[in-house]
Amino acid sequence: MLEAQKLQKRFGKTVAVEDVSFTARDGCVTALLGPNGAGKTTSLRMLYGLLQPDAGQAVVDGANAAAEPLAAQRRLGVLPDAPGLYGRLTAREHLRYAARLQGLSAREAETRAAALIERLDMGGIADRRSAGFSQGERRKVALGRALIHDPQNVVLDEPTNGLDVPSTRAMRKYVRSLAEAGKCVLFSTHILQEVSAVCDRVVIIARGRVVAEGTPDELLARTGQTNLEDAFVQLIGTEEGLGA
Amino acid sequence: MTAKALAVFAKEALDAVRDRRSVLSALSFALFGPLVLAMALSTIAKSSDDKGPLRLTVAGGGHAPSLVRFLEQNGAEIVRPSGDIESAVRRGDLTLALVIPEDYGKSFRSSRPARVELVYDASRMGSSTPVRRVEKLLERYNVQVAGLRLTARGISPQVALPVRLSAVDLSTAASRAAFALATFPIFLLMAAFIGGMNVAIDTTAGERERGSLETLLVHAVPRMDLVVGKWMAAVVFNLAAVLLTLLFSFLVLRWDGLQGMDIPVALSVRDALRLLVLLLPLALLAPALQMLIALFARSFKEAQTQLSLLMFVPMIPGLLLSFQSFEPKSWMHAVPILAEQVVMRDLLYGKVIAPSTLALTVGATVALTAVCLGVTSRLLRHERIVLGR
Repeated sequence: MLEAQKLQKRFGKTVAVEDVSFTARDGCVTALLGPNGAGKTTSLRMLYGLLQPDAGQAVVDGANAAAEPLAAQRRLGVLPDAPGLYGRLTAREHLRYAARLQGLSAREAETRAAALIERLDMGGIADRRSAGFSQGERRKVALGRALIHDPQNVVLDEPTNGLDVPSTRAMRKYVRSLAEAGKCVLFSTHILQEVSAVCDRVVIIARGRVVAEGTPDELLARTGQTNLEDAFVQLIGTEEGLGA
Repeated sequence: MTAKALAVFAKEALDAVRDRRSVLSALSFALFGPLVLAMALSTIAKSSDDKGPLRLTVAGGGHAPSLVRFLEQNGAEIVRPSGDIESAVRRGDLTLALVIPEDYGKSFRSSRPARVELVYDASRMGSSTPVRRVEKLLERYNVQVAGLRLTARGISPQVALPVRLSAVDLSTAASRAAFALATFPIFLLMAAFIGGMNVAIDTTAGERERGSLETLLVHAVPRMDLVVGKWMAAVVFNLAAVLLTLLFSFLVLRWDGLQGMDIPVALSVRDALRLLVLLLPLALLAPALQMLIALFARSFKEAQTQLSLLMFVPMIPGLLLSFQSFEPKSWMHAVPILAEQVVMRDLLYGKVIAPSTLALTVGATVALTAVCLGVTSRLLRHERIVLGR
């Protein structure tokens, strides 16, 4: 379970996150939906311990991400904004490295890497260097790396950004299957279709604040709209920065 | 050493070995230093050859038979020219040639200065010694002829010689070789700074430039493990460069071409091992310093520029040490990098190094290394360092 409790973060004079609270539950896909620049990435970075909140706290299965970052990170798999691959390493080597970093033994690392290569359908690229990988292939390796230690919680920052249609569909399928296996999945997006396709719950964030939280149906009922796009626009009060 | 630090080390080492740039920069310098040393020493060996016969090509020797005879009597081996002299000198086929113009005899007989030309290329190695020898011979011929002319006019030749300079050059080929060897510690020092530089940059500034630093930091790894693993990879490259530099230098100094020279500071196996003891802490310190600095750079290129410039700062005392005869002060042994150079120099000059001096030198360097690693791992907690691009 992931909990954001009154998170606040400033960079100099700019307030990136003003007041963000939400809960992402196990067995659920929770979307953090908001226009570009709403504070999604900053909120996620506080959850996975890369940024220290100025106020409030980010909690991963009871562990405060700022106070006990290692305990929180062990329970967490993260797919950041940029895949950040090493061009001279193969897909398998990336997975092995991530496994060792998470504290798995060499043998466990090997088995987990092989299992993920099969599950994420990476057989064709497993032993090729990542320098020539396509966006979709990179994202797969990064996802595999996030899941390598079989974490209870998975945070994905715009996981389908820049992917073509087949890769997007595959990514959504993986995200769904994780929740069905009982994991807590939190992902950020600015794409509305994505929300209706994979999410159980939505947290809408705009200008650094949570403006609404609930299932897609609840949001429709609350705004009296018939489609999510209109509900969303009404909730955030602008159409700016929205992807179709 | 934790398992996680080892995993970081294994990954960075693999990554670096696959990076041609890192491998080349470590290897090329290991070859470059000893090569320069070999060239310097062989130049000295050649140029110091001032007792051997002086081969001198003389064009138009027929115009000045007495001058040619004088040169021959004073040990010059006169050679007749074949082909164009200037182009032969330019090509390097000829080191130098004396050209005597047709009007030499006429001017000489009428007691006007008779022009002769000495053709050489000063930019060629090994030209300065024979040129100096010919100039000296011509000077002596001048004095001799002038003396005869003055005597014929009833004036003592002494009158025309207000000052007589007699230079006493005490340097020998061996002592000049020792001078060249004094620059040797600088090459070793540079090897310890260059060998792992690419790896140090790639694992810090490079990691951030590629955007992989954020991903790396979301894993449950203590920052110190990350820093130590990366640092060890750079250290391995550094050590490889230092060992190769030492090995090649060792081979250069045992090279046949130098054997006749009786170099007083020829590198013995024992000295090489002593140098290694001094270089080890430096090989540890350099990547730690470089990683710390590179972490502030915005890109790989920027880090590379900064570090290349910075590398010359520790070289300055080394250069001064090689040029000046100065006594090291005891505080210098507590200043990392400077201390190693002072001790290396003493070692090459055959001085005995006190164990306490050595301990202080090594201890100070290792302590600074630990401080650098500690600061670097703290910096990896700073948002601006991690996310600032």
